[in-house]
Amino acid sequence: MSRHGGPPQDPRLQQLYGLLQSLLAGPGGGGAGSFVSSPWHEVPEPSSEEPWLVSATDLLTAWSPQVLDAGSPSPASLSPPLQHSTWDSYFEAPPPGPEPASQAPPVVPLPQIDPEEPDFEREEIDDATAIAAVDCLYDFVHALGRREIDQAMRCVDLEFHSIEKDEEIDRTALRQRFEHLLDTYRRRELEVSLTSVPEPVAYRGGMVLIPATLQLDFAATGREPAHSIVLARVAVLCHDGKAWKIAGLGPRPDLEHATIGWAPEGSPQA
Amino acid sequence: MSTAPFRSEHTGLGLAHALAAIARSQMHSGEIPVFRRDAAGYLAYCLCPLLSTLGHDALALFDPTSRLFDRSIAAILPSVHRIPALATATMVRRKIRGFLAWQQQADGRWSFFGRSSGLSPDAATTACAAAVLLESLPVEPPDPWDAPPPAPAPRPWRRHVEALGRHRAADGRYFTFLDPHGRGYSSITPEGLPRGGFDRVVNAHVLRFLALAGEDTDELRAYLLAEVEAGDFRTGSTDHPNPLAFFHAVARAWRQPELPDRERLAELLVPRIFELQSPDGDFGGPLSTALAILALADLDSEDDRLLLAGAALTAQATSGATWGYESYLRQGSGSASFSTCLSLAALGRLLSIFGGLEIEKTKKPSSDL
Repeated sequence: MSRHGGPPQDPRLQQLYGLLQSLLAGPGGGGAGSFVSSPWHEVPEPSSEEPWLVSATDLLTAWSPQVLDAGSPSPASLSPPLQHSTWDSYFEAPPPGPEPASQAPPVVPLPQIDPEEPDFEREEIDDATAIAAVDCLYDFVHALGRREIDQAMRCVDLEFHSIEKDEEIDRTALRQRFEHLLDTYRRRELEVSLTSVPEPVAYRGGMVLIPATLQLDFAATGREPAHSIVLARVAVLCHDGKAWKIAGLGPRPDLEHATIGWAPEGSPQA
Repeated sequence: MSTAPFRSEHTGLGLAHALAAIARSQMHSGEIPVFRRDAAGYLAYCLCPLLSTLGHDALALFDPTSRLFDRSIAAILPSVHRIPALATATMVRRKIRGFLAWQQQADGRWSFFGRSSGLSPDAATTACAAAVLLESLPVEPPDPWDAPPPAPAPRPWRRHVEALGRHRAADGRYFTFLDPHGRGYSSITPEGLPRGGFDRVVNAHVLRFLALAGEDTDELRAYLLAEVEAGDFRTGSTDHPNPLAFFHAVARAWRQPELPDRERLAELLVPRIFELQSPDGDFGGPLSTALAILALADLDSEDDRLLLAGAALTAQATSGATWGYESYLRQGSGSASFSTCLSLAALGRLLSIFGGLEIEKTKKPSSDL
């Protein structure tokens, strides 16, 4: 329906308009041409305070925020100075500025880079540290193999944190993933292992990195075939003052192809 | 066969060459490679953690981080090669420990053909591998401030002891394997069927680990002493046709944890071991000779026939300071690297007992040593 009381242009609205007229006219009221607008039926005119405002949720309002503040509903009726607003300045060429003193490119200050920041040099790792860190990883793997989630999570730091496919995984999420996995295959024999001998690498801050590919093999049953899940990860281990703990299990981009999902087979995420 | 690496002036150099050869042959995983000889005589690789554990133990003499390290042997090494050679022994042993930790299963046991072989875990590999990992446990330095002692540390080998306990029979002996129902058996027939009874070599390995871990071993010692007193040494056991495998295992089990009655054991075993020696000092091959020397050394023998055995062993060395293949088990497991590990240890023990030049003095005139 038109704001100005005229017939609507949309054929669907025209059909609705006609239907309403026939209902309001009643059986003896004649046809559509005898329709008399009542006060409650009249379409309200724009208010005098903000005549341009049609609706508080009018999406077009935001497209002319400064032009329409003059109170006119039609930008076409605006005076030329008002038409040239700040909004239009975004689409105009920039005003001519002063000539540069020279043709040399402007000097852009570069951020100060700490020359020691990207320090990927391998530090020497002593035997005791390497053994203790690897033992922590093995404790985690063997506990998973025994389906002892509580025991496995004792090897995981309270501040465990990983990012996997733009998703943050904290200690609780890690536990839930493994619980879901083991629960899905609870009727099958399970063997959890590392596909290769772990080689720990010392990292800054006293941390130890261990590239490790975790393999979970679920044995076949009478009805279901064997299923394996391979997770290529870099285990980040830190010492919490008492023992070594797994602080992260980040994916390895170089072995992304070797990773065969978290999700059980047959599930939508598999 | 050339014996140049073990000429008198080159004995230490030969030992260093042998250590380097072992390091070269060690696999990336840390395993000492093992091969089985098939019916056609070809050698085929098979993963076997048990032999890596024996190699680890054999090289302890050359590893300064081991409690079995022998300084007198280190002194024999040429000064220019001493540190690299000792570091090599340390590295090889560390890699073996890494390999064994990798092969450990979730319940704290090991399988003879490795974790993914399908063969159920066995007591021999478990006991030997667990004993290897005992050595990697951190040793806490004494507290210089005489602080109160900390709380008792957890004993990580408890899981291995408990896992081995599943193999224990009511009379204190240990089954080699367990079937899915928990019933024990000693070996597997060629037809793949379980064979009942006990393997005394396996029980000797279990005794050594349990004694090193501080567990009660009275029943096991009584069983093995009874086996020695029975005197049936035609074979070591069903799976160990070489009787020297039993002599070596039982002597090592008594010596390393310093169990009582070693003198009694020596009285019974030493004569029987020398009965197997040929006139030229050999015991049937490089591995057999090395096993015999190690067993006799563990039994504190200083018989001159040991020197003859040493001469025979050096005569069997190749020009590359290695020793040839000889099988350790009925299935034919062995390798040149494995033979070299044990031969190196045997020569080291002889050099430690008699001094570096004694082997040369007693060799036969016809030898080209």
